[in-house]
Order: sequence, then structure tokens, then C-alpha cells
Amino acid sequence: MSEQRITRGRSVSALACCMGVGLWLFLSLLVAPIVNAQPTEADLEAGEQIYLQRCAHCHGVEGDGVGASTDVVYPKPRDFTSGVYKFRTRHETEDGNWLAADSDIARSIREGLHGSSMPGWETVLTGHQIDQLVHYIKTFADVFEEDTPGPELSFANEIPSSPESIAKGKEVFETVFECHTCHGTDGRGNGEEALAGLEDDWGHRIWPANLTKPWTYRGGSGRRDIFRNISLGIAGTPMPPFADPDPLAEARETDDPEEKQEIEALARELQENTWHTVNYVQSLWSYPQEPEVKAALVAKRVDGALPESPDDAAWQEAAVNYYPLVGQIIQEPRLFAPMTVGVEVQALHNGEEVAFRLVWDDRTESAPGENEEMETYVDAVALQFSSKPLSGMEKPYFLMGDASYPTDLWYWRNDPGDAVLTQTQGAGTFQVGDTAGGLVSQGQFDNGQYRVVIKRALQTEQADTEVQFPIGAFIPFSVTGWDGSNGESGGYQRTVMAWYSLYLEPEPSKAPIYLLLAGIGFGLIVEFSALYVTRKNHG
Amino acid sequence: MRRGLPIHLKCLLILIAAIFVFSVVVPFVSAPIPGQLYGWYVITTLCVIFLYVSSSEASWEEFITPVRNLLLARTALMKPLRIVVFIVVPLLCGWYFSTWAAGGATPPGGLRVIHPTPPSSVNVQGKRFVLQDISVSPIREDEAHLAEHIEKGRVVYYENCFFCHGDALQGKGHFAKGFNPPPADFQDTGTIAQLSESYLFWRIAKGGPGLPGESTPWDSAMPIWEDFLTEDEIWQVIAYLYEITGHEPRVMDHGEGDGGH
Ligand code: HEC
Ligand code: HEC
Ligand code: HEC
Repeated sequence: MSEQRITRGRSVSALACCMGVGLWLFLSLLVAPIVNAQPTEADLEAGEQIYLQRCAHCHGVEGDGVGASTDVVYPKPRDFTSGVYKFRTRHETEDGNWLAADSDIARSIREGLHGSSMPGWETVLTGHQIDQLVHYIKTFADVFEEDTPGPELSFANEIPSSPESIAKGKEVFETVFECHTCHGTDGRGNGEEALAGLEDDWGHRIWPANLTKPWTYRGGSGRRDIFRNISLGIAGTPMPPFADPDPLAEARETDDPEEKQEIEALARELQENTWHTVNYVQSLWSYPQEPEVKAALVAKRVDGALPESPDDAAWQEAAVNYYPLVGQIIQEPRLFAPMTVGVEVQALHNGEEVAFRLVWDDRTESAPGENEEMETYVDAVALQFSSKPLSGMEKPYFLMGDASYPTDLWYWRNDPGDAVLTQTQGAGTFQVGDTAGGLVSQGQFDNGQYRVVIKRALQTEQADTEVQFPIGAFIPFSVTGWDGSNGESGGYQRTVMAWYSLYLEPEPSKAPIYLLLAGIGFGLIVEFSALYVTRKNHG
Repeated sequence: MRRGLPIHLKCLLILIAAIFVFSVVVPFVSAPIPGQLYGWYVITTLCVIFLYVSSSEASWEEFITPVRNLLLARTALMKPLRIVVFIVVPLLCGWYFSTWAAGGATPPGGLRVIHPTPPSSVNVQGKRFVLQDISVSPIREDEAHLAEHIEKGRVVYYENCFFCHGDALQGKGHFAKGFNPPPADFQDTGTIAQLSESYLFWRIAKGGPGLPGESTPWDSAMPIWEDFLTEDEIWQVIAYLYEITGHEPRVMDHGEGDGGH
């Protein structure tokens, strides 16, 4: 634009333009010193300082992924010397490199990698500091000097979700892209290839994402994030790209209009299939985000027998509470890398008995000794209660109690599949019990998910040494789990959660109706006495 | 005689202000008020308003006259209004009584003391520490090596604490969501900024189970660190916490406990 004007000889506007450009250069230096420009020495130095302060204990002083926390987290912190970034919006380069753009890396730093120990830094660092970090961590890998990121991924031809699109997506998921070979037919990350054993580029065992839990998607669960992962794959992991290199690149090169059209039609179909798959993946979500923990689990009161099977329709009536489970990292030996994310708990009672239904995802149905490389144990779950009646605030220590406040564990394992009563006085005393203690249970493993029902009478004869369930009171309970193929067993190596309250709904009482009448009566008495007094004194 | 706002408006404003404080200001500065307690606060406020209204003959008259007029239906308009009020008020009472009874499943909000009074002395790994006698941490006396100690404290933190207390020291580690009470937020001015280094020494060495009963030791996930760390490592991580958050340890010798909330 400015050149045109100069040739027309309008010196005034030329001058104005020069000044404009000068001002623009000056401003851009001020405002955005390093946006996609070469970083200055000062930026790199600032980046290094922040890196040493905030990142080196995980990613290593040398950027090689070896820091203080490396041994106690899973997945492992990234080795930046590899130049591999999982999440990127750029196609393969001409040299065949998968390079993330600065904005991709900045986003991972800003938002963190969900479901891993890599936190989001936006609450701590400014956007400018994050840009400086991006430049600094890129210096660990030569590939960023040798090559520049490829063309941007196009998100065109988006198809909104609909039952038809989801059905089409399922078909593509299972027959075109064959995602189920890794992610499983219900998306719980338990496909054949996953079970056979996948490794990432650094030789660590890796599991395909459980697609039903979007809050664990490392790179975010937005529609475009899923689209991006399918199209470009996840670098450093076995998750392959389905649209890389850019399918349209060829169309740009050819001069033959027919060929061009053909390529474009194919590329469009690929994009549409990808969007259908995105819609299908979203339809697999158990919850759109990690549910808030509710303080009380309400056991609804029902008439007649309680369901014994976890798939009984009666469970649809019961409220579902979700609780996150985390590794036991309080007592040695600690469990730093749990595989279980959370458990859903439901409860019903009928005045005589109480039944619990526990549902959690586990990719593997473990049996002792099934894996030669590492010790495997049975998969198990337990509900925990106080063995003694409680008064006041007091409760047993939430990790299996202690000598003065023991706990009852209703322990269920997949083999043999019968719940037993296990009483503990601290994690060190954990020893699977040998009597049912009145527990009746039924459980099953189904395509990457356990569903278990355990029930018992509300009251037992050992009222002082076994948990009793008074109706209408708040009873502390918690859940603990063992994923056998993750090496979890015993009192310490397990997933845990805090105490929460169980509340057995009282009989639908007539009390509210009486109280309604009492309230009306109260109102009337107050009014008429006021009327009487006023009339008498002033009337 | 009639100065300022009509008395009914005043009462209403006092009530609204009180409710605003209870449900917005208090949760903002500390924690939401548990349900039952909230009810008591509102009742107390109503009592105060009543006292205020009946404090002088004049204000009482001003307050009661419209009510009296209504009861006696002194104007034509008042008659139907009286009927409406006589029906609505009992129904409201009935509704309130019955919903209050069906209150249902909100567990009682236990009042946990966050910062209890520490014991006068603790035994850590067989050594006795009289907390009042420790006005500054021993490693601060070794000034020449303080930077080194802090650096070691950083390693201790990232090998042991960040799962719960988080990378950013805000109590948002990747395991934090499994625990209740949640891990302490060290950036917040309500935690280590209010405490002395000897208090932290006690808390870190003895963990959750070392708390007194009013602080619900059975709920706290804070590990007993004397089982994992040396005495020096505990002082080092304390120095690191203050260094990285920029808070100053409180220097004091008596009566640390502030009762919490
Ligand atoms: C508590 C340990 C921890 C800290 C501290 C940490 N990270 Fe990470 N970071 C990780 C882990 C673990 C991964 C890998 C997660 C994965 O592969 O799924 C990761 C991955 C990354 C990635 C790769 C993202 C991608 O797309 O693949 C970047 C970039 C990154 N971290 C930058 C940083 C920066 C910058 C800092 C400091 C501000 C930092 N990290 C601090 C643990 C950490
Ligand atoms: C060869 C096995 C394999 C195939 C085939 C595969 N994936 Fe994956 N997928 C993985 C692995 C492994 C991960 C976990 C990567 C990680 O943890 O960083 C993953 C992760 C994901 C994620 C989560 C991404 C994130 O942000 O963490 C989504 C969504 C996903 N895959 C969808 C799909 C879809 C849709 C398909 C089919 C189009 C598919 N995958 C095909 C192995 C596979
Ligand atoms: C398993 C989770 C967990 C780990 C790991 C953990 N903490 Fe804690 N910590 C907590 C919880 C929960 C609380 C709040 C309850 C309490 O005060 O006991 C807490 C409280 C504290 C407090 C008291 C703060 C206050 O305001 O009273 C300090 C100090 C503390 N932790 C330091 C540490 C240090 C240092 C480490 C590492 C050596 C560490 N914590 C590791 C869970 C943890």
C-alpha cells in the first residue's frame, strides 16, 4: 500500500506512511517484543530464571525430564531435549518433523496437562513470562533451529452433534479409524492393543485415554481439541494421526482441476468423518466435567427386597454420587501412580437392609501372577465404616482407623467374588477377613468397568464392634480400591478418599403434614390474639 | 420528630445488610456459614431489630400504628387486605414449619479448628523441642548456607509435598481433590503467613494425626513427616515455603492458636 502511494509521488502520504511504519515498529517492540519473533538474549535469560524456579524440579535442569519429582509422578515429565510436544495444531513439516507452534506450547503451559501432575501456570505466571518460557524450553531441542512448524490444521466443515452424526461417528470409530482397537468399544481405554501393552517413545507403559472421562484428556476436551488429536495424533505416544500430512497439500500442487476436485472431496470426507467421531466421543462422556463431590450420599428408602444385581433397574432410582480416588501417599509404602480416577456410589435401603452399588473403571481384569514382569494382584474395592458407634465429631483415622477406633471394611475382590468383612486397626493390620459377616454381594467386570453390589442388614448382633446403620443419621463412610495389575494390594498400596456422610432416608413420615397444620394453627393464633388485644385497647 | 427514613424501611435495610454480610461477606473473607448457624444468626438479627424498634415509645408507636390500622381495618381498602394477610401468614408459617422438618440430608457442618494451640513441646525422632524456645529456625542461624538450605528445601518440597499442596503452593496438587479438609494453601494469607516456624515444625513433624481433637485429626491427610524426613529437611522445607511465597514467618513465643474458624 505504502509503495503504491510513493510511486504516485504523494510525498506527504509517503511521509505519513513512513512515520506510521516507524511508529508501528516502535509500538510492536514495546507491546509484544517476542510474539513469534526471534527471542532476545534477555528473554532467554528471563525464561531460564523462571524455568529454574518453577519447572526444573520436574523437567530437569538440563531439560531432560529428570528432576526431583520425576520418580514420583506418572506420566513422566516431558524430556524437552526430544523436541516432542503432544499437543500441536500444525501439520508435519516438509522434512517430516512434527513441530508444535509457540502458541501450542504456550497453551500447554498456561492450562497444564489435565489429569497429569503438570499444572496450569496461568494463575502464577503472566502471558509474557510464559512466552519467555516457550522460547527457553525450545532451546533444549535442536530441531527447532533446523526447521519451522508446518501448515496450520484446518477445522473446517464442522458438523454439529445429532443422533445421526453420533451413529455415523460410532461407525467411523469402529470401522474406518478403528479407534476401538486401543480405546475399546465403550471408550474406556481397554482395547486389544492397549491390553497387549503400548509404550510411549521413552519406553514407558502408556494407556489409551479413558474417553468417558473428559477431564482427564491431557490436551483439553473442547471439540477442536479432540478434532486436533484425531487429525494430528499425539506425538510421542502410539496414538496415530489420521489426517497428517495435510491431505490438501497435494491438491495445492496439482494443476489438473479434476484431480484437485477429487483430492478436495476426499479431504472433505475425512474432515466430516473426524467431526462425526468427535460427536461420538462426546456422546461417550460419563460427565462433561469432573463432578463436584456431594457431602452426603442419600440412601433412598424403597419398599420390598433390595436389588442384588448391579444391573437391576431399581438402581436407576438411587442418586449417584461420584468421588475422586487418589493414591495413598500418606504412609509408606506410598502409591504415586494410581490408575483409578474415581468411583460412583449409590445406596438404597428398605428399613431392614442397606445395599450399595459401586461402579468404577479399570482397563484390566487382573488376576494374581498374570504378568511376568511385575507383580499383579486381584482387583478389589472396599467400603469403609467405623466399627464402633460414634459420638460427637470423632471418627476413626480415615486410613483404616487405629487401635481405639477400628474400621470395618466391606471388602470385595474379583476372585473369588464374595465380599468379606475385614476389620482393621490401621493400615499395617490389614488382613483380608475370612467371614462374610452377613454381607451379600454380586459383582462383575464388563468391558473396562466393575459394577458391584454389597448389602447387609442394617443392624447386627455385634452392635458394639460392627457398623450399625441408624435411619436418619449421618454415618461416615469412604471407599478404597485396589487395581491389581497396577501392583496395588494390602493396607498401603491402594487408592483412597476422605470420609463423607451416608444418610439413610427416614420413612416418608407424616411429620411434615402435621407440622404444616401446626404452622397454620400457630399463624392463626398469633393473628387472632393480636386482633383481640388491639380491639380491646384501641378499638 | 420524624427524622430520617421511615422505621419500617430502616428495619428492612438492617435485615438486608445483615443477610448480605452473612451470605456474601463472611464466605468471601473466610468460609460459608453452615446452615444451622446461619439460621441462628438471622434470628439474632431479628431480635436486635425488635430491641431497636421497642427502644423508645415513639419508634414503637411509629412501628406499630400501621399494623394496628390493618388489624382494625380502619379504611375501606384495609378490609380485603386484612383478609389476604390473615390467610397468607398462617400458610407461610405452615410452609416454613414443614420444610424445616423435612430439612433432610445436609450433614452437620463440623466446626474444625484450623490453627489449634500447639503443645508446649514435641518429641521428634527422639529429640525434645520446646516450641516456645525456638524463636527462629536453627538453619537461619547458619546464614552463610541459607541459600543452600532453601535449595534443599525446594527438593524436599517437590519430592514430598507438591502432590497435595501443589506446584504453585496453592493447595491444588493433583491429589488434593481426594482429601477433606483440603491441603493448606500456602499463598493464602490465612495459613503460614500467620504462623511461626516452630509451629510449622510441629505441624510438619506430627502431621494430621498430631492435631488435637478439635482439629479433627482423623480427617487430615497431612502425613507425619518425621517418619520420612530428617530434622534438617523439615527446617529446610519450612525456609523454602517462606522464601517462595514471600511471606514472613510470624515471630512470637506464646499463644499461637487463634481458634481458627
Ligand atoms: C510437577 C511436575 C511438573 C512441573 C513443576 C512442570 N511440569 Fe511440565 N509436565 C509435567 C508432566 C508430567 C508432563 C507430561 C504430561 C504428559 O506427557 O501427559 C509435562 C509436560 C509439559 C509440556 C509438554 C506439553 C505437550 O504438549 O506435550 C510442556 C511444554 C511443559 N510441561 C512445560 C512446563 C513448564 C514451562 C513448566 C514450568 C513453568 C512446567 N512444565 C512445570 C510435569 C511438570
Ligand atoms: C494405537 C492406539 C490408538 C489408536 C488407534 C487411537 N488412540 Fe487415542 N490415544 C491413544 C493413547 C495411547 C492415548 C493417550 C496419550 C497420552 O496419554 O498422552 C490416546 C489419547 C486419546 C485422547 C485423549 C487426548 C488427550 O488430550 O489426552 C482422545 C480424545 C483419543 N485418544 C481419541 C482417539 C480417537 C477418536 C481415535 C480414533 C480416531 C483414537 N484415539 C485412536 C492410543 C490410540
Ligand atoms: C497427602 C497430602 C499431603 C501431603 C503430601 C502434604 N500435606 Fe501438608 N497438609 C495436608 C492437608 C490436608 C492439610 C490441612 C489439614 C491439616 O492442617 O492437617 C495440610 C496442612 C499443612 C500445614 C499446616 C498449614 C496451616 O495453615 O496450618 C503445613 C505447614 C503443611 N501441610 C506442610 C506440608 C509440607 C512441608 C509437606 C511436605 C513435606 C506437606 N505438607 C505434605 C496434606 C498434605
